[in-house]
Parts: sequence; C-alpha cells; structure tokens
Amino acid sequence: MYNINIYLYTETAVIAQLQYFGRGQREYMDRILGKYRSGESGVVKQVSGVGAVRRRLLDMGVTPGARIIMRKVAPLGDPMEVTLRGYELTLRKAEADCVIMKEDDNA
Amino acid sequence: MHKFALAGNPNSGKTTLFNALTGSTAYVGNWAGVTVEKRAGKYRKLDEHVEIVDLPGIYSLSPYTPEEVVSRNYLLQDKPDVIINIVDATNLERNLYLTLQLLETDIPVVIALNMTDVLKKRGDSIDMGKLSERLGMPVVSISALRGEGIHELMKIAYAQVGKERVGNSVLSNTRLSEVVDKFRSVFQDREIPSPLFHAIKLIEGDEIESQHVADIIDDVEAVKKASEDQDFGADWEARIADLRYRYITDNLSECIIRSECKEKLTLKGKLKVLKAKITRSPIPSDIDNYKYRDNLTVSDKIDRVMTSRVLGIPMFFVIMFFVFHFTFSEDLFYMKALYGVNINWWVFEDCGIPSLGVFLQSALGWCTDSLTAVVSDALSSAAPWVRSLICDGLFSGVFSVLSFLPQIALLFVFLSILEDSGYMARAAFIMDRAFRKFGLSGKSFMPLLMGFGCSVPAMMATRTLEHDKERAMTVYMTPWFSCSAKMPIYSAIAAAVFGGNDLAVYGMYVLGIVCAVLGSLLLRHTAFKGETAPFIMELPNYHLPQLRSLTIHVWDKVKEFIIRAGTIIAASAIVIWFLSNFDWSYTYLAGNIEQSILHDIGSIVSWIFYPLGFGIGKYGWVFIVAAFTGLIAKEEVVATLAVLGTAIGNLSATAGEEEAIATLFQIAGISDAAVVAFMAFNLLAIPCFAAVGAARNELGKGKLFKGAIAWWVLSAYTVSMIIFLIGSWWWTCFIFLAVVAVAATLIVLHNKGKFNFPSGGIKRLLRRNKEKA
Repeated sequence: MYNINIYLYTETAVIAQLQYFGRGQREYMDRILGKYRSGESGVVKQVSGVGAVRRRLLDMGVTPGARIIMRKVAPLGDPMEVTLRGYELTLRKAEADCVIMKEDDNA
Repeated sequence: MHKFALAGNPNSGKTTLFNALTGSTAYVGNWAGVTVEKRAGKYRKLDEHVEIVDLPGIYSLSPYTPEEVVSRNYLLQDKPDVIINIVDATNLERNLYLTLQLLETDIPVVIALNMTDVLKKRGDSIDMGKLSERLGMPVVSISALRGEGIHELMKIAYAQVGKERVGNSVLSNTRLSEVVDKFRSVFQDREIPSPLFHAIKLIEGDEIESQHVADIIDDVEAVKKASEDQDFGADWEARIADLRYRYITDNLSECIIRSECKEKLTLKGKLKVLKAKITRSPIPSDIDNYKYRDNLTVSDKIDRVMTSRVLGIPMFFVIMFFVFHFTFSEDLFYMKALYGVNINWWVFEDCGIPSLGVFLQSALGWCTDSLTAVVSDALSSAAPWVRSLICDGLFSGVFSVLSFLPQIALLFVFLSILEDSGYMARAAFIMDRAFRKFGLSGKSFMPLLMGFGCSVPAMMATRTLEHDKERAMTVYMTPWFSCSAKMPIYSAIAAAVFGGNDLAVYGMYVLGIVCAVLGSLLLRHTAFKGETAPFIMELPNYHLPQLRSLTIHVWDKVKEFIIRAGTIIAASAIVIWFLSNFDWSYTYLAGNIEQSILHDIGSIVSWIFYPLGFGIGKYGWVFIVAAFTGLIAKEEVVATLAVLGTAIGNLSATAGEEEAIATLFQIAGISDAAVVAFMAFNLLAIPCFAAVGAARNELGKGKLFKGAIAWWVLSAYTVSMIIFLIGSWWWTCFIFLAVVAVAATLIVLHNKGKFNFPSGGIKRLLRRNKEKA
C-alpha cells in the first residue's frame, strides 16, 4: 500500500512536470502570431518589422494590447485569417511573424 | 463653390453615400500622377450647390500607399471646406482611428455614422450624444443604402462651412503633449495651415513631412530622444498608433451600448440538451462552454464554406465556371449536348439555348450587320472607295471591336458583383500562396483568369491591385491568357494546317500560361525586383451588391470602352484600311491588297521576321500583314488570312475559310514550325487596341505602359524565334538552354550582389576606340 502511494505520487509529479514543460514550450512557440494555430488567441505584445508592412499592421489595429483570435489558414497554407477589434483581417505568415504575442489574460 | 471631401475606410459605404449624394452629376477621373480613381460630383439640394469629392478608401494617413498620399495632399493642399467622415458603426474602433487623424487638421469634420441599422438588428446601439461630445464634432446617423439621414447630414455639414476650427489631437492629454506643442508652434510660426497635423506626422517620422522641413530634423531627433518611452523606446510610429487606439478603446468604445449576449446553441449543443432531457439527467455543465455556443455571424457561416480548407478552392472554380458559362456558352443548359435540342431562330442556327452573353452578342451582331447592309445599299451610287471606307474600314473595324461589348460588360458585371459582395477579397485570400512566388499576390488571380474571357475587363479589374509593381506585372501577363478572340486564330490554323488537331489549340493555351509563369519570374528578378508588397487586408462582411452602385460602376467602364472604340479604334481601323486599300499613288485598289502600301511595308520589314520562320519567301508578307490587322481585334487575323488566301490561291468566292487558309499556307510553303511560331507570335505580341487602351488606363502614360509594349513585342519575338529554330533544327535547343542557364545564373548572382553587369561597357569601348583613332 505504502509503495503504491509513493508510486502514484511520483507519477503525478512527473505528469505535472511534463505538463509544465509542455506548457512552457507551447508558450514559447505561441509568442509569434505566425505560429498560432486555428482557434488560439492572444494579446499583442510588440510589433516588429519595418516600413510599410509595420505601419500597415499598426494602422489596421495590430497594436500592443490588441486581442487577436487566429481563425484559419488559407487552403494553400499561407495567408491566415484573424479576428481583431471586431473585424476579420488577413495577412501572410511572413507578416504575422512580425507580431510578437503574449498569453491572453482572459482565457 | 464650397467643397466637401468624403473620407472613410474601404467598405464603409462611402461609395454608396457618394452615389446617393451626387446622382447623375458624378464624373470619374484619375488623381494626377497615379492610377487612383478620383470621383467628384455636386449636391444640389442645399441653398447653393456643393462639390463633393470622394477620397479613396483609406485606413490611415500614412505615407506608404498612393491612396493615402493622394487623400492627404488633397486635404492639406486643396483645403476642402468640410470633411464628411463616414464611419461604419459595426466596426467603430478601426474606423475611428482614421477619424482621430482627420481631427488633427484645421478643417471642420462631420461624422456620418453609417450602418446603424445593422447594429440595431444585432440589438446594439450607439450613444450618439456621447460620441459627439467626446470627439467634439457633430455626429449624424445615416443609412447610405436607403438614403436616410443624408439631407440632415448635408445641412449640418453646410452649417460648418466657414467655421474656424483648430485641430485637436488625442495626444494632447498624454505625456507627448509637450513635444507635440513644441513642433506645432514651429509650424504655426511659419504660418502653415493645420500645424498640429504636420507636427504629429513629423514626430511619427513620416517621410513626406520630414522632406518639407529638413532644417529642423536634427532638432526633432534630439527632442524625441529626450522623451523616449520605456515600452516603445525610439519607436514613435508604434507609440502614436498605440495611443490612438488606446484612446478609442478607453473613451469611445463605451459609446456602444451592447445588448445582452444572445448566443444560440449549436446543433451539437441542442442535441446534448435534448439527450439530457430525455434521460432526465441534469443538463451537462459544459454546455456553457463556448464550444457548444454559436456566436457566428452570417459572414462567418458563409466563410465556413467559401474559405474552408477543403471546399475553398473548388468553390472558387465553381463560381468562375458559372461566370464564364453565363458569358460565353452557346449551350447554356447543355440541352444540345445531352438531348440534341437545336434552336433555329432569328440569328441562331443549330445551337442550344444560348447564354446571356452569347445572346446579346448575336443580337448586337445582327444590328450592326443590318446597319452595314443598309448603309452599303444607300451608298451604292457613291464612289467605291467611299463605300469601302465606311463599310470595310470604319464599320467593320469598329463593329468587330464592339461585338465584344456585351460579353465585356457581362464579365464586368460579374466582377463587380464579386467585388461588391466581398468575395473578391476571399478569392485573393485563397489563391495568394500560389502567386507570391512570382511577385504577384492573390489579387492578381481574378484578373488573370478573366483574361481567358477578354483582356479588357481583365485589365480593368487590376485596379484592385494597390501596388504599382503587382498591377503592372498582372497587366503584362494578362494577354497571355488567351482571350476568346484568339481562339479562332488557333482553331482556324489548326484546322487548316494540322488537320483540326485539338492539341495545337490546347498547346497554345498552355504556352501562354507557361510564358506568363516564366515571364513573371524573369520580371520579378529584374525590372520589378525588390520587396514584396504587404498583403494585409480586411475581409469585409459579405453583403448583397447594390444595383445602383453596380450599374454606375459598370456603366463607367462600358462608357470608357465605347469611347475608345469610337475614337482611337475607329481611327486605327481607318488607317489600316487605308494602308491595305491604296497604293503609293493613292489610287483605290478595290480589295487588291497585293499592290497596297501595307503589302510593301510588310515586304520591306519581312526580313525582321526571318528568324521566326514566317516572313520567308514570296508570300511572307501575308503573315506580317495578318498579324498587323490583328491589332484591331485578334479574330481579324483569321479574316485577313482567309481573304488573302482566296485572292492568292485564285479560289472562287464561295470557298470556305478553312480551304482558303490551307491554300495560303501551302502556297506560302512555310514549315510546321513556322506555323506554330506564327500562332505563338499572335498569342504573345501586342494585344488588340482595345486591350492596349485598357492597359494604358491602368498603367498611366509613363514608363510602365511603354514597358508593357516593349515587353510584349520582345517576348513574342524571342519565344517565336525559339519555337521556330528548335522546331526546325532540334539541336539548337542546346544553344538556347545554355543561353538561358547563363542568363539566369548572371541574374541570380547579380541580385545577390556577387556580380555586376558592366555598365556602359559598349559606350566605354566606343570611346576608347575613338581615342585610339
């Protein structure tokens, strides 16, 4: 009985650790909008990039603090569709890579 | 006359409002120097007439897109009396971002709050009093679609005329206010109007602004450095955009009074509840989870199919199939193909139920034929050359171009429906990936596909491409997607020379596409190299297209085409008629084209076409002349070949087209390779005058348009030459492969900066030779 308990304890600990590890890794991957999967959401932390692309992103409302929901990827796998500020925006993955995200506080 | 400027986001209903305001007084032109449409008109229902200028749809006033630069220049230089800012109530946040920038000018602004009815349907509403108070300017609720509230809007706007207004900015209450004020006073001292607007643009690091006041740039940099922010550092563009949006979310978003969430359960959720009720167990708690709640709008639901991973592309092709089917099909319901239904009525002989496009074309053809016959009869006593001038020169030229009008107009109607409904943006979304490699974007796909129908509406459709490079490349490639008038060339020649082998026809279509792919790759790495333009665009909500805007839009384009047919095309038709009906002593030849000026010109220049195979021999000129007459309309090539074949082969007048062309090719004795080269030349070289005119409209008069002509001529010549030479002596393919490989390597190396083309090498060589001498 005692043994089993220890076994169970270690198992949960390992699972918890694995979960934590997995979560940490996911968090890392999620940091860039271009890497988001459909249905995921987050808040913009920073917009990198230069010139016209960057300005366009800012003008379209992709500013720090804006909440973005990733909707879907186009059939051929590139531009993606996101929802922000109540409307649908499409942008290429290369451009979405300029958007650095942080975890959504509300989710 | 007072000037009101109409400004707003794309898809905010701006054009609908403009049409409702100006009605028939509207006219369409271009803004100076750019191919951005300028529309202006008059509003007549006030005490005096007011000019309304429709600015292009914009999201901001940045210096990066021509639309935004044009709008900005108009506001600052032409100084309209009032700006009417149309705001889409269903998307307040993003729309107000532009509003905040407009408020920074000294011009009075009135907000036209559009689509409040849509908002009401959702159960939401907007506190207009609060919004007006917060923004410090009048807000009028309108429905551009139904024309509601428009007169009130104009009355309020008219009351603003002449009012002194000083620009205000949301930055004034932030930590930036000091910096802004400092530079505002600099502009104020120089007596520049709208100093606040200029000051903020300057701080943003705006390129246009910085050029104007180069003398204080160092000062600006110093001040900016002194008041850097922790979060943004030296990133002022982001900082100001952030402040604007933050102001909107903090202060203006609360003007929207949202109703209680009325989300319905999805089918899955309902089933779950039902199951729980039947088994009398408690309703599962995860029903509250969003997973089982349906908060999708109608647009979202449509998009589930239209842009879905699996169905997106098939749906696109289904839509395009119907567009083409309704425009070009001679057997609309496949009654003939399936049941052998034959219709023999009026102008229709032995065909199925025609589509609208074919029906209209046949009807128009009947009208123009009758007119030609009547005029020809009436002129029977006139001099033969006069009759020929009117009937063979003017009428046949103009009418052969006009015969495409019904189908062009119909294609354009479909295009406008797709554009207005919001599907065009989705099509671009679906296809973008495939086109990016070639320096094009998804938006190029629709025009290129339209090219299979007719290059004219296809080129007109390139207007939706915002970036010059992309638009130019799309226009360059459009004619290579063989239009419906090039089909007769392929099929007639294939029938006459290759025994009706369909492979020759399909081969030409494929050749066009292959050339377009290779050509865009080449241009992408040479003339149009550089950064790919951003593809960041709104997917507007689907809505039903408005008949009124549709008719106005299509009529504008049709008018353009008719004017061109009546002027440039009529003139060139007469010139070509003159060249082919007169000799050098200006005597009328009555159809004896072999002594004409055109024949002589063709013979003189025929040596240029020797490497292409079809300029050789006694009758080489025939093909050059035929290709030349194709400039009026491509199917004229077939007509010319048939006429010349009958004349040269001494055939009876009743001989068929096929026989005449076959005889001609036999007598001329050109090889099969040369025939293919001839077809390729017609495919790739300058399209008809109508298409050239459309290209000029989209590219402007300058370099891009001249480049287009040069591109078509050079590529047609090169490709035809390669076809003829390889077709005649197969081993030459090694030479061409080597040349292509070397050229490609050099271009790649050059673009990587590892190799420089000798600049002015020939000139230097000549100079050195001179010095030696």
